[in-house]
Amino acid sequence: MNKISPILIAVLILCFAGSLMIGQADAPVGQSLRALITGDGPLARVMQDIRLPRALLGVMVGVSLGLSGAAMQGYLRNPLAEPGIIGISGAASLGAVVSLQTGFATLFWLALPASALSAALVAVLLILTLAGPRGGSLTLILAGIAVSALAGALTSLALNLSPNPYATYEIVFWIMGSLADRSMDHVWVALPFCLIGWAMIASLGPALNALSLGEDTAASMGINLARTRMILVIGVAASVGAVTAVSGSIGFVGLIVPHILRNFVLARPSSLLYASALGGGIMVLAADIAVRLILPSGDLKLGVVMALIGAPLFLHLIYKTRGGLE
Amino acid sequence: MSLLSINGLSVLRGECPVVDHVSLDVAEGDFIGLIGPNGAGKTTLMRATLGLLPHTGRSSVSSLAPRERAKRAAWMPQHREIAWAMSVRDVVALGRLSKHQADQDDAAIETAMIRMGLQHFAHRVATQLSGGEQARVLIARALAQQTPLLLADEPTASLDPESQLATMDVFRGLAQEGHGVIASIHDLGLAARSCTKLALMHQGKLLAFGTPTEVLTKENLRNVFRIDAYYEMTAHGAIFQPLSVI
Repeated sequence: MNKISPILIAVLILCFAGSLMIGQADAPVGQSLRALITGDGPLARVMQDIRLPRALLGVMVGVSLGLSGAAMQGYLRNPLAEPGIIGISGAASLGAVVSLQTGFATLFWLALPASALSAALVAVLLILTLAGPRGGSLTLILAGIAVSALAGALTSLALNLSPNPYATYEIVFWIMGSLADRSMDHVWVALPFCLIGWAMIASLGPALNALSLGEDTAASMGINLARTRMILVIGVAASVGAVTAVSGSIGFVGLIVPHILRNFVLARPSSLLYASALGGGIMVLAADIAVRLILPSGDLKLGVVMALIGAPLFLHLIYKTRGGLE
Repeated sequence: MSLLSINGLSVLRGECPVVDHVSLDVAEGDFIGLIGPNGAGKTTLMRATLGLLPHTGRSSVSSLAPRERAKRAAWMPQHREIAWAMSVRDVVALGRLSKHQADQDDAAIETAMIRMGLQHFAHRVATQLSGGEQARVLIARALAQQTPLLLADEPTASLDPESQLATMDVFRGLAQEGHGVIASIHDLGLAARSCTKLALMHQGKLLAFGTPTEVLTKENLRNVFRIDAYYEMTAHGAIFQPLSVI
């Protein structure tokens, strides 16, 4: 554990508590906590059925995106890489959009996340087949771009063929990404995939460190490049696919968080994994709190706020570090 | 004792052999300079030897599992890549990845850094160093791996004369300690001065192998490099000076 981890853990706990306490039902902290634990009365329903799943999903989304972003940047040795680069989030979004467009999503509550996860799985198989057996990063990027473009085109087609304007609105709002109106069922659906994905990505620390010196050197240091790539793709697909399936598409976290934290962990790719997981959780929880504070009675989407925070922050980071990037 | 045995190793690019049935043995104390014109197959031979490229024939290193390979041979590619702004010590410490032993890692890292004159650079950011200093960091990384064999692809390229001589002295010192070193080198004078043996490659084939005097013959220089050169072994070491293109 590096020096910044305890600070990140403390801030994450604070943000989680903040996410639990902030909402339309304005109740004192003590009363809210009692309601959360004892489970009696209407406030308990709010705490247990609305705020707790929302806060838990905030952590899961943030950890998945932050961890995957750090892993993708480490693997590709490029600070501009992010989980979406291999097309998994695009494919998961496509699966969800198709289920909304066809009405499959209304059949049972699990239909939408199951469609999104199935599409993410198909994308993984396609990417690994396209990228070939030898484990190079360039083929992975090219395969990811191809899958991403295909998923984008098919999503546009689904919107284009939307049966009525309401379905179009529903799809567009879903794509924007949100943690509102999610239940513990969503948490239980995504959690196993997230845990598997996190464990797989966390095991890549030594390989990502070795890859800092290039693929040839890493291979000569005993790193199995093909195995590393497969674990990375499946780990990112499981975690990012699962959170996209329950929250929609939320951008910038996987790009910005590793970028912000890299200097705090002395640029070690393995240390950046843990820091970015915590940092991602903080960023998503904070943005989701902002969503509720900025427009308490409205329907401001988390994905929109994330992009509004992320894009200027990213511009600032590029401006600050452009000397080092050239 | 043989550290590396290559038998009939070939690498095909499409139908065309870029390395053609090369056989070579590296023993303890050998510092072999791999020489030849551009495109002769030097880099391909070393990468295939390490199992980094598909090949036919046999290499005693490539036939091992990846982890075991890393314990047998360290590799320095020509392209010097340090992707992140890590400290010099962190980069050198990567050499311990395949041989991680908590009680020996610090000593191995320190020894490698002292050997490459990097003891005062430990906390400097590796990517902010000059090209020559980065080359020393990457050599120290390879030394920290503590393998019997070291393969280096043009380790002296783009180094100033002092760094070139210092690098070759380190490799020669390693050989004298019982390691085996193979380095591809374009500077024939430097190769003749420092290496115990030279391996001359031409069009994927190993054309000559032996002491610098045995390999750098007028005939080989004319046929392979298409140059005339002055070559003499003196009390200060070999002197090699290209004179004219044929």
